[in-house]
Amino acid sequence: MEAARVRFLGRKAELVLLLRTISELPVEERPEVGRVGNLVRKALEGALETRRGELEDQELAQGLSTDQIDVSLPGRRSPVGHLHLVAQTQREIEDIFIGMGYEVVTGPEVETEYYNFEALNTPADHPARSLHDTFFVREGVVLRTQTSPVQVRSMEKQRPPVYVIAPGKTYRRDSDATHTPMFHQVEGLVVDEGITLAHLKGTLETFARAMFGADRKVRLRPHFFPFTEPSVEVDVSCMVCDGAGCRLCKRSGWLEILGAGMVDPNVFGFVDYDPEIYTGFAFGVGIERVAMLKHGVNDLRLFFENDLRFLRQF
Amino acid sequence: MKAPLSWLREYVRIDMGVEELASRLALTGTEVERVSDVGVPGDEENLKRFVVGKIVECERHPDADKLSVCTVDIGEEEPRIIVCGAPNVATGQTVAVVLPGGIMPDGTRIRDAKLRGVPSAGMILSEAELGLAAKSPGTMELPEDWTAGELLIDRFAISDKVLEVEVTPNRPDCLSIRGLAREIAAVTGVPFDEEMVFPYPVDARSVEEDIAIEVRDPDLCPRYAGRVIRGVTTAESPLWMKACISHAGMRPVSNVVDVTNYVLWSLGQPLHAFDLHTIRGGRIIVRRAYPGEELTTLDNEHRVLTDDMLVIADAERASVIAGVMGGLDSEITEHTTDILLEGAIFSGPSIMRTEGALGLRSEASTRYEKGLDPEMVPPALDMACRLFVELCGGTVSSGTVDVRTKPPSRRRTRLRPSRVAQVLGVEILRSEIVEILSRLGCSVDDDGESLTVLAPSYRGDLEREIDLIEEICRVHGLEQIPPALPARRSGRGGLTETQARLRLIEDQLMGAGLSQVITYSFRDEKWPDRLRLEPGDPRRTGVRIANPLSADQSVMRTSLLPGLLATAESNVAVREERVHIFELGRVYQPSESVLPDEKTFAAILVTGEWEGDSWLRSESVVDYYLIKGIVERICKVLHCRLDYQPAWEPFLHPGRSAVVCAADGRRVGWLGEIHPLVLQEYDLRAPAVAAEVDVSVLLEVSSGTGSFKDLLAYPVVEQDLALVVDKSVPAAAVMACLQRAGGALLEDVAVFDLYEGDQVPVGRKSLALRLSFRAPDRTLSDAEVNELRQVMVRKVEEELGGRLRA
Ligand SMILES: [Zn+2]
Repeated sequence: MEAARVRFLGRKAELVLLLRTISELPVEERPEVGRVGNLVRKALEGALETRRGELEDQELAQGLSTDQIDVSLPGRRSPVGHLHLVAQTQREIEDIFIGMGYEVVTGPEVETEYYNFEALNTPADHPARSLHDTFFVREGVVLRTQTSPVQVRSMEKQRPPVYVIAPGKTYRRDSDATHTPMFHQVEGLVVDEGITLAHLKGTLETFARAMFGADRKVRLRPHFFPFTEPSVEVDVSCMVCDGAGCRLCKRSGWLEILGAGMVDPNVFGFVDYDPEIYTGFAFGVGIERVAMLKHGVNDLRLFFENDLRFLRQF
Repeated sequence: MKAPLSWLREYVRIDMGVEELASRLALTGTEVERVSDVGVPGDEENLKRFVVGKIVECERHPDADKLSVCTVDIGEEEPRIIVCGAPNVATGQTVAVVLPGGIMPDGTRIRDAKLRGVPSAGMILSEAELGLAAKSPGTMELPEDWTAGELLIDRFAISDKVLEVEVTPNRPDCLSIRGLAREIAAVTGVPFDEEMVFPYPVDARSVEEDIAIEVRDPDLCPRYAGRVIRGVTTAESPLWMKACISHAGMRPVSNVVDVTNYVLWSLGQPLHAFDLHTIRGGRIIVRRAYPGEELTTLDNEHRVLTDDMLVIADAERASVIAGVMGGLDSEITEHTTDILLEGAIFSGPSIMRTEGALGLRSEASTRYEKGLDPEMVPPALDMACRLFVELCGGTVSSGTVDVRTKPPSRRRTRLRPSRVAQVLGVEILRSEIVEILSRLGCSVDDDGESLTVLAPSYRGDLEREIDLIEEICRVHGLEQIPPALPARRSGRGGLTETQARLRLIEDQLMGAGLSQVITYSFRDEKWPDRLRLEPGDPRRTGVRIANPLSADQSVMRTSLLPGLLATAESNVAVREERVHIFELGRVYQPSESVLPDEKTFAAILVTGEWEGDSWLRSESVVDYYLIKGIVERICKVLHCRLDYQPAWEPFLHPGRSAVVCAADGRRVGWLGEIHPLVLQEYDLRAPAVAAEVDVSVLLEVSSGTGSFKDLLAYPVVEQDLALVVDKSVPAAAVMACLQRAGGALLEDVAVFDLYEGDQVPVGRKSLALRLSFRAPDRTLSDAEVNELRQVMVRKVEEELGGRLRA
């Protein structure tokens, strides 16, 4: 390249010499020679430039082609964290109800017996209130056994319409393969004029489908809870076998997911709502239960053992 | 409760299959936990192979001492030869025979066999082989009047299906075969016979000659009745009763005991049989136990009673813990001939307290605790007396001693059909409402406007209008309720700002590469010692649980750190050595008010290589600055500034830790490297760093969302500066000093290098800083910036003894 440049455009090149001696030509020839000479020089410069570009491209391509790495090796680690499955599931549940117009409310975990039992129509002699079933801090103060006391506190603070869910930790004095002394619940409460059991059914159906898939069916079975009447247990059609019966659903085709019911008029008495005007429904769902069903987790205790081999899966 | 199907059929017609019945019960509020087969497989072919046989002849087996060769008439033309191993088998016995092809309860199929050379065409059965006894010494002898070839199934339940039902606590009336049968009738729409008549002959002798009853605590005992049966003979119960009792999950004992259990299961009324002769003074006194009174119960446990427990006593001492368990002294034995039979009602809450205090529950007490129907006492006594006469050869003294301390009551409730629709969201015909309530045993009066409903005595739970609506709802069918969504009026849903920011914190910590853990809110008592907390540290005082499940879970936490350390410990123990975790949860601080202060804390713990074990061998150290970086990340997204000052937390490295304070001086938390002794305590071999912040304070001091500043119109001017200061001068002090001197035009100061060594004097360090200047309204000139920079350097020289590094 350089040799070619020196030969054709260097200080001693024919063309350059010619152009330098242009003043020696007759006056009338000078413009023409100058014009042609410059054209030739531009053409030569252009050709050289093009060639240089070609050679540079070639050189780069050659360099890149020898610089090869093993693309199959893993990338530099970018730290990946995980939300606890309970936290993830809690958010999912919250978001479903937020979409239906609910507010999220929270309250104390160490709670008075009044809010945890009394105001929820659970009389003093109810077995749930015994030292055997409930953790006591002292007389009158317990670790809440449900998040429903938050609902009572919410009703005390506002008049209907009430649309709230109360997620959080709850505690019961039970520890075996299917119970942990601490677990998480989301309880919901709706109170307004004209709220009926049909609304409860529709709401829970919407929830079940959002959580477990659009094809899920929901069925209600009568049950008994102190603070609701009528009370129901709610089953969702099994997502593994679609109702045909399998091991998960113990061949029944149905999975129990939550308890619910129409708010007992006595509960309204405690918060000074007129049960002749207002009706309401309440429901409670165990977050771990939902997570286990949704993700096929087979042991409740895994949630609180915090083994990273478990946590990292979600 | 276990309910054999054949027993239920004595009270109600069941037209549907057992699966359909179970599902109907489940959908109307009686959960059927399982349906199991008991006895031999119940198909017709199999049942035909279980027959009555008569042993015509019984000879010793020629080649085996322990076997007999029996000639058995089973109603066929020719008797069969059956080889039998039972020691008691003898000529003339009526026995149960299974023919070849028959399948036993355990699934084995009986075949034609040769036993020591003698062919055997079937097997003679024992009670154990039919599941009626745990073990039996020999063949089961049947009544002589049963004829050869009769099917056993026609005589007693050699095969049955058992429904195991879970009865909700408000329905003790369903804790019996008859009660459950009535519920089945109501929910399947078949008739039910309410009448209970159990006739039996009565003796001329009056019950009052033998016994007097006194109820001293009427509140705890609304009814106490007794009958006397004399001259009973203890023997085994008949097979039909044994089948009922064992299929219901109890154990047949003797005719006398079995009768009381049979009545309990049939009608749900517990009965207690005393040996009449153990009752001193001919008196039964129902009273509270004397404080410290002692009694040895049937389970051979010595019990010390308190005065809130009700006992059944005689003239001298307590012999039964009322409704819970009998005493050893007054127990009936095989020698008992005369019986005092108790049928009583005790107060549910009192029974429950006694059960709790003694840790003792029985079939009787689990029924009593829910509240039983006082009207069931006389029919239950009648049924038992009749059976004592029939099965035990007893004679019943005339009359009943019946002390009733509470008058009978049936509740009358007004029901508005309009209210039914208001609660359920569906119209149910008035006629159907009346029909449903009648099927449930209620009497209904219709005055044209509302209904007046009289609940039966066994439904103490039907007290209010809403209770009746619940009944209508479940029998009508929940599947008939159309789903609908409420019209959400006047309001909106959503997270509060705090809730949204808690999620943001979680997301950021996750994004930083940490995994969230959830540990128990209660911990052991020793964690403050393991963390080396000082004696007076307020974190030592936690909210204590009065009745913890174990000492490991007895105090509510005041810090999240012990949970994270324990999590690290257990993970490292299983070779999960990279523990990078956080927890967002509450701590519980005792307070002056009724409830403790619950504060939301966030805590982080990192131990084990941060970036390591990649083939790239990139290095990253787990040290103070790692954890500080994570805390700073949170501050950045929350738009808040924190101060970090050296401080002493006993569980942190004293030179590599800090307390974190808000600009207003409030303490937010701490961070740093974990003290080596604490690492040792938790078996952590690698260094660990941790932080804990009070999220509520953090959220209070954070400025929320960022507000707009125009960073685009005029360029930033950056200059680097190296300052040499004493080692003891914190970088933060240098930066603060520069910031003060730089004023509004100094947008940012950042440290980009730290040097200590030959190039600077001993005891000094060099900080390289990048200064960013910007004016909101113009492009800054070099002259302007240089002038400002000189002012700043001078300030550091004056205030901190620093100098510009050459
Ligand atoms: Zn299934």
